[in-house]
Amino acid sequence: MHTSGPTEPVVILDGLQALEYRSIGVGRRGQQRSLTNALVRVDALLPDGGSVFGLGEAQFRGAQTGDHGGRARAFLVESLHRLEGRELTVTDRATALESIRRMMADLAAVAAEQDHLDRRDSPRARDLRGIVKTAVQWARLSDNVGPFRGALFGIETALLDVAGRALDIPTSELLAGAPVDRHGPEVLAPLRILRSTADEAMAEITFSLAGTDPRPVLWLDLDARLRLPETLDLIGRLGRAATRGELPGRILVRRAVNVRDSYRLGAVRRAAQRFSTDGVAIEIVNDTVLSSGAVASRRIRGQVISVRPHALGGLVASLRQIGRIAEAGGRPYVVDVEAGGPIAHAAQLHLGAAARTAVPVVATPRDEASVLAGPGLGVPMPWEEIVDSVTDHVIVRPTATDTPAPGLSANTYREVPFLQPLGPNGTKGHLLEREALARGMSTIRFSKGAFVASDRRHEPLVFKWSRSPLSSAVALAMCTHKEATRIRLSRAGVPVPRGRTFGNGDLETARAFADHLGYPVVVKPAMGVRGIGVVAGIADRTELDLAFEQLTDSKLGDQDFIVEKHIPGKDYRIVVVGDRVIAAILREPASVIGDGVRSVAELLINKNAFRRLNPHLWGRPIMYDAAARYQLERIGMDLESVPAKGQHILLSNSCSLSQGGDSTDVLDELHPSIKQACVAAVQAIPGLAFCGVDFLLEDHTVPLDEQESGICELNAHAAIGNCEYPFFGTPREVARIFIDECVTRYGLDVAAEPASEVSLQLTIKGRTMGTNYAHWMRRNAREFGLAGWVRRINRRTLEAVISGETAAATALTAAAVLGPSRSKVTSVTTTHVTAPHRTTFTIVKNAPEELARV
Amino acid sequence: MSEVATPFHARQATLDGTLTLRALLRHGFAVSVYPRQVVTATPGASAPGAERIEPGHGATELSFVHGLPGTSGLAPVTFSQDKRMRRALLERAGIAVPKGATFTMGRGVRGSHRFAHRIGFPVVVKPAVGDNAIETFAGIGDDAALEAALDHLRTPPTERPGFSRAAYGLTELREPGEENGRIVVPSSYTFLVEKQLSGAYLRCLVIGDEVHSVISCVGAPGDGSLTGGIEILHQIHPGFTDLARRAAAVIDGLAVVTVDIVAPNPYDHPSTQTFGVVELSERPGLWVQAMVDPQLAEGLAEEILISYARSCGVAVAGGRDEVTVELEAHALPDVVEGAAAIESAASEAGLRCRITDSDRVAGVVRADLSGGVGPMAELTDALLDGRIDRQQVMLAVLSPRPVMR
Repeated sequence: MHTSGPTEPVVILDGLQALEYRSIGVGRRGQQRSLTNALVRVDALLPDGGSVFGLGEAQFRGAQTGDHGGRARAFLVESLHRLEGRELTVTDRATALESIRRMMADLAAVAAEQDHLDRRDSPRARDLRGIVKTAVQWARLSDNVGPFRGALFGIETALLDVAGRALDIPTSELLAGAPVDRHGPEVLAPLRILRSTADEAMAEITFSLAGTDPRPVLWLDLDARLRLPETLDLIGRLGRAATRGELPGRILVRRAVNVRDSYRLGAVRRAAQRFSTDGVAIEIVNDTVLSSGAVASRRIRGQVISVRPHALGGLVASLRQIGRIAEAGGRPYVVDVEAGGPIAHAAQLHLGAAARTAVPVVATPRDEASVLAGPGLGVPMPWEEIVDSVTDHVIVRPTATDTPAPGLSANTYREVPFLQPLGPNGTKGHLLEREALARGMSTIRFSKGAFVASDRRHEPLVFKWSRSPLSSAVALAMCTHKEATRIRLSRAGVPVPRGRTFGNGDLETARAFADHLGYPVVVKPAMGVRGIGVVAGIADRTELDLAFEQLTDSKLGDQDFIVEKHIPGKDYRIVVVGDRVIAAILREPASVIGDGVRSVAELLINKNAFRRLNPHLWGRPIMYDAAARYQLERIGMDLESVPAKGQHILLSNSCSLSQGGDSTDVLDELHPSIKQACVAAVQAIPGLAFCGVDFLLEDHTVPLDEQESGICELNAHAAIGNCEYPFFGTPREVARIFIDECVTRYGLDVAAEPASEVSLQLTIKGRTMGTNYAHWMRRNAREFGLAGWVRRINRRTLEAVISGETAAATALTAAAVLGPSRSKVTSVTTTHVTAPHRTTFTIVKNAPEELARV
Repeated sequence: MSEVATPFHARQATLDGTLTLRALLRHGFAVSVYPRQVVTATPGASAPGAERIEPGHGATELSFVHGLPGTSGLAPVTFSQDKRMRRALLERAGIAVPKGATFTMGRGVRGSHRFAHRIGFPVVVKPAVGDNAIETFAGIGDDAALEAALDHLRTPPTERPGFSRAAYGLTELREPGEENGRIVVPSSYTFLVEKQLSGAYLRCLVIGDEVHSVISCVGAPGDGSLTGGIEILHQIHPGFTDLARRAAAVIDGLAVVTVDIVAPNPYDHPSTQTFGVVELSERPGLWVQAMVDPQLAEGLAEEILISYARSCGVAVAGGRDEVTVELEAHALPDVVEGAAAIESAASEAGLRCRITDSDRVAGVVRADLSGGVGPMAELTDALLDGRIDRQQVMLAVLSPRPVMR
């Protein structure tokens, strides 16, 4: 029994985790945008020796929640560390609430202190844009949300959930201090309109409501896009449409005008009143975070007011705000953030129910039947919803081992942070440039994938992704036609699977051919890439028809297709440069291995955590998709199941690394006959100098003539990162050998060995004004531990000097062509200079020293 | 029904490959022809020192795709298909290009209109990435015409009439977009807006580092307005041929380059006028010369072959307009129907054909084929393209034989 005194029962917070995950919202131009939530889980020991867990959802939405970028994540992690081992008194509702209040007050103080430090280090009024932002905040024309409110909301919810479960009461009852109506509050689904004219907005409203069930109240979120005249026009149209019965009689409008017109909100309210006749009511929602003084002034009487727990820092503050608003004659509505998750939704329902008079909740409806029954929030771990979207997992008291599976040690690579600005395919376009620069060549980069490299004595070599001058256009044309490749290799005496190509739609002949060939067979597009549309192991006609459907639905469904004999081997990628095999990996389908303790979901998240430490795999997590569900269902498991220690759980039938597959280096074990076959295959294709050979083998250690095998594909522009950065086994220097081959073939005059440190001068051309490009570069350079400076030369040109570790400096050079989000860089020219006499990276107006070219 | 002939726009894309095959047959090479105009060739039995070889067995083998020699590198052809990078390299080499900029379909349409006003109409619009000298919209004189051109480009490339993509081109894997129920290109699809220059449209063909042809065009090849032209290689001012050579060299690793220049007076020194390089392509584009004089195009295809063979140390035998070969057609779905279709199509093309063998299990038909090298090349192309009674052949091997009497 844990007690803080002779009579007070306490629970001890002994395991805290944050699972950061992506949630998909809608961007300003209607495109998908990735938003970040973090599921907070607090495990606690009960006085009786049992345990409970509580869940919360931190929501990071920049200015809306006071959580900006990596600082918010750091604050969340810091807060969890501070809570570890703390005791939560759970004598009754009041002591539990008081105990949580004290913990949250401590964290709020930390948040304020951290915010103060952040502002000192990075003043927001450093340019005109920042000054305007600050002025708008001072004038209360925009949200003035306290620091880290989204993170605090998640932590507090988890603590309330723990306390509720410990006391065996719903969170709403804990908040209210008394039992509440379990029917729950009204839930209004918001209609978010992302248009900037009244015409477009009205058309979208009509379109969105067409065919839906009639609703008594319409909650419109105009996302602060409309300028005042457009808003007034729209309100008129809404009023008239409602009068005609075409829209609900009650319309609540949130974020009605653009921030530039927000001082005219009074005019908008008056217009809404004018059109509120004949049983029609249009109301403008007051969306600002009101201070207690503003609420007390009672100027809000009669207004609809949004209460946002993510902006107020939690449910307790929100409930207090609801009470004040109601007392002042206002009408509060609890409003969810865009792309909120299931835990925040449950928390809002409890909040709405806890108010003296139930407060409506504005959120996308979910299955909420049993939520209010509790205990706590009344929701389990939402694995289904988040498991494959988790981007980071912080465990304050780890119970996990430091391997992705028992007995297996995954490679981790320190250059991951350097490569992340380049995106998931970053290694493909960067590694060759890194090696070229390391050997002393200069480069000009035009895009994420394309650059030219020169030793300044010979004509520059051009590269795009892994398309190099080494191989010919003919080689690619032949390799991307699988049937041509098969015939060519077969005539060269290289083992290939039997099969043939069929015209798009010629399914009947293909079925007959498969019957003739004998099952199992493989179906794939004639000119495929990245394993798209490939279905292997087809056992009969029924599966064949399913495979045809899958191929037709794929991105390459308009192509001719191939039916070929399935070779019952494992999938290998073997890399040949010139006449040498330089790397080989075994590719296996996505899977987890049980430890007898953790669930499939936890094992999956743990394995993905290791994939994120691999430059080639960090953007290719194991997905919990239809294939994974199918594989689990086959063995009677789900995400909550706990596999036995050592049990191998398949989550896919594809060996593609892009679909969560594992890579294991096998170069040293590869039988010489297999190497010979690979080299023969590459030599059979005219002009092919670099190739990824996809070989199906029963066993890579035994001679070819003792096993069934076949080369199923040659990749003339194969990815480099998969063998450079295998998940298991020895990494191979594919990019370095590739550049070595270029050096030999073109007689380049470069350094014999790659440099471990470089000093580079970058000339960056393109649209960079007003994008904070220099600050972006300084931030990255400092994070990467690089020295140097950046300065503006003219409106379209910046110059930077970057000095330090080769991997970091060259990665920043590659990222320079992308820059911050609003920049549009057209080229980055990079040359070598002598090392600057500096230890840090700064923004300067004039070059602090002359650096000679080397 | 046999249908050896191809529509005109398809012929533009394939003529280089057909003429190359013709040149190889004419000079006695043994050729293996794969789908998408991939050809490998070795000196035939009749050529001095020639021996029959299987792929990958060490002997020097020539290779082509769409008429491009094997010495055209993969990255160089990819660079030449990216108009933004190509323009940047030309500018860095001090070669004039028209004012221009690229925009994305998702965010750049308004910007492209503003840009067109800034540089002044008329402008030219073309896709920023992909096969060169096709889908060019020229003479755009106002916003409405610009919008019409962009509307055409909103249609995904594979859905556009007359669209072609080289066998080595980049595969589009981006998800298409949707506008009001219409499937459109992804929002990141880019297009180029360029100032339209006035003057003579010159198509220069550079083989190795020599200019072999300059056509002064009537109309322009890229926008479908070409109606003819004249060969002015020996009349044009040497300053322009020098310019074409320098332009061709900006991307190292291209065996053949076509450079399109617009200049008011091609017979005067370039320094006296405002001109610009408006296109640069990795493909020979011999359909332009063929429109002026079919024999000129055939001759240039042979010059490409000879230049390439010489660089590989391969001897080229003397040319014969009529040859006899043994044809092996591989991977036929039905060898009986296939053999009949080949015989019939050969006869319609004016070739003599005798089926000598058919292997049902292997799907191979063998025949002796004799006649003009031009029709023989076209027949082979049609076989590989599935245009003969839908008999899709995946490999055609043509081995020279003594001429049939």
